[in-house]
Amino acid sequence: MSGRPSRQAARRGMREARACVLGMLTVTATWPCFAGEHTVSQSEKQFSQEQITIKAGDTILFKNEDSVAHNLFSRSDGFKFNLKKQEPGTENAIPFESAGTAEVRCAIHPKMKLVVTVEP
Amino acid sequence: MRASVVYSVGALISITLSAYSAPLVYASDPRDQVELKTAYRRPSEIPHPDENRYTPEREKLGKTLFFDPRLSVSGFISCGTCHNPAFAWGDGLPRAIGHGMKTLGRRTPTILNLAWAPSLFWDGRADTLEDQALGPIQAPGEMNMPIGDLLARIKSLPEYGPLFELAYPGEGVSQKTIAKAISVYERTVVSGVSPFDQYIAGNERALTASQKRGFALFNGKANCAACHSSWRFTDDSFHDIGVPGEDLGRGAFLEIEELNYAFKTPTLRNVDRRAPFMHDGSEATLMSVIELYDAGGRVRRPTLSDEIKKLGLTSSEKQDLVEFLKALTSVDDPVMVPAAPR
Ligand code: HEC
Ligand code: HEC
Ligand SMILES: [Cu+2]
Repeated sequence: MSGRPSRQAARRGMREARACVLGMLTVTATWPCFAGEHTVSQSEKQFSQEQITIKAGDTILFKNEDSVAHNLFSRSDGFKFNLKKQEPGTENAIPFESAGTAEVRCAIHPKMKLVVTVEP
Repeated sequence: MRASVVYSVGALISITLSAYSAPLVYASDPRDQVELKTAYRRPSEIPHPDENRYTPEREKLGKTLFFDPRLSVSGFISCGTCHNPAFAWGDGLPRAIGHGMKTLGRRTPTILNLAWAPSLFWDGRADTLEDQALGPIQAPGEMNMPIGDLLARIKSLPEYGPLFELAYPGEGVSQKTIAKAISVYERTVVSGVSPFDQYIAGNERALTASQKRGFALFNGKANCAACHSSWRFTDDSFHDIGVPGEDLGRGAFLEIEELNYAFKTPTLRNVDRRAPFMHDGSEATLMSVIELYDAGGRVRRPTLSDEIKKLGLTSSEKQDLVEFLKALTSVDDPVMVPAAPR
């Protein structure tokens, strides 16, 4: 019933991860790759950190390592997204294309806040 | 490929996590009992933000404003009209009645213990009390008072001047100082020590046998603590628990479909003083609330929380849960209403 959106989201994450693997193969063959990919995990209804600074074009891999579902979203100008229901054990990559500041929050758990500073 | 590998590792982690939390939920052995009780212990201090520290002068000004009906355009409705201490800071109505005796869309929530709340309103549309306070004053359905008129009216009452000066020296009468003072006062509105708190503090006799069984059900078979957690009995989060109706709640505010029909988990402190229940007052008694949960919600929708399932409670188990909820009520000192400045 609610499985569909999250599977879609997981698939989206996989697609992005695959693109990154391909991209990295042409540059270096190191493992793990993902220069420009950062990981933020969620557990105990908290993000693993309150803020993160990245470069424009980087992606953040949001991993739900919690025992409950989350629904991450951002309404910040230029960074609007909605990950929909993210089940425990799933992950999704979100690209941050341009410089600025994004506030990522969970729609279910308002205490969860992550400030993403994207440098040019 | 990599993503799917991580996926299964993640799944393992979540299995371990839930296996870990299972004993806590049922709390059969004494060590888990201690852990469970610790999770419900009252804090010793009220948190006040650095930008708006507590002073007795601020509390006094805030309380005076909170109970002053002249903050409404009619001169007839104060914050305390709807958030009435006689009804555990609600109004005892299914849905609030505001300016022009019009019925509003939602029920008045209590303002108890909001110093600890990370988001406000049934749909979470305000983040802080300071952000929230001017809303009801200006809302056409509530107090209907344009902010310019509000400032003019307060300034026309000379006895307010010194109260503002003592509370916020040099800052004068402004939207900001009004909102700040009301917020300081609201943070002091905390539910007192209930039989449940005495039990948590070690007095085994503070609860009846039925209430103790209710507490075990609350944390176990009935799964209430999945959402009504901590000493305030709320996870401060938003869930669809299957209350019928058209109000989309959090989903409408965020424009996120998955959150349709989700409302903020209300505190259960002093809850037996606040019937009828839910965001729309649709459940008349605590027993009917328990019936709703026992049925796995009154409506089943795709947005229904995973934590809401048919419970299979017996009638004595239902009674035990109701008895337990009553143990969360404190006998609080009467509230003295300050004289309105002239
Ligand atoms: C006409 C009745 C009415 C009046 C007057 C009123 N409120 Fe409310 N209050 C409500 C209702 C109804 C809600 C819930 C609205 C919603 O969630 O959409 C509410 C919500 C709140 C909340 C959020 C509580 C929570 O748990 O999220 C706070 C805080 C609050 N009011 C404070 C005030 C203050 C301060 C005043 C005076 C300036 C005031 N209210 C005046 C009816 C009223
Ligand atoms: C999935 C999370 C969740 C679970 C599990 C849950 N509740 Fe609730 N509870 C809520 C939410 C959300 C509301 C408000 C719903 C609304 O107004 O639409 C609520 C409302 C209530 C109310 C009404 C309070 C008021 O002021 O209106 C009571 C009483 C209550 N719950 C008790 C319980 C009990 C007892 C259990 C276990 C049998 C339980 N809850 C399980 C989330 C939950
Ligand atoms: Cu969350």
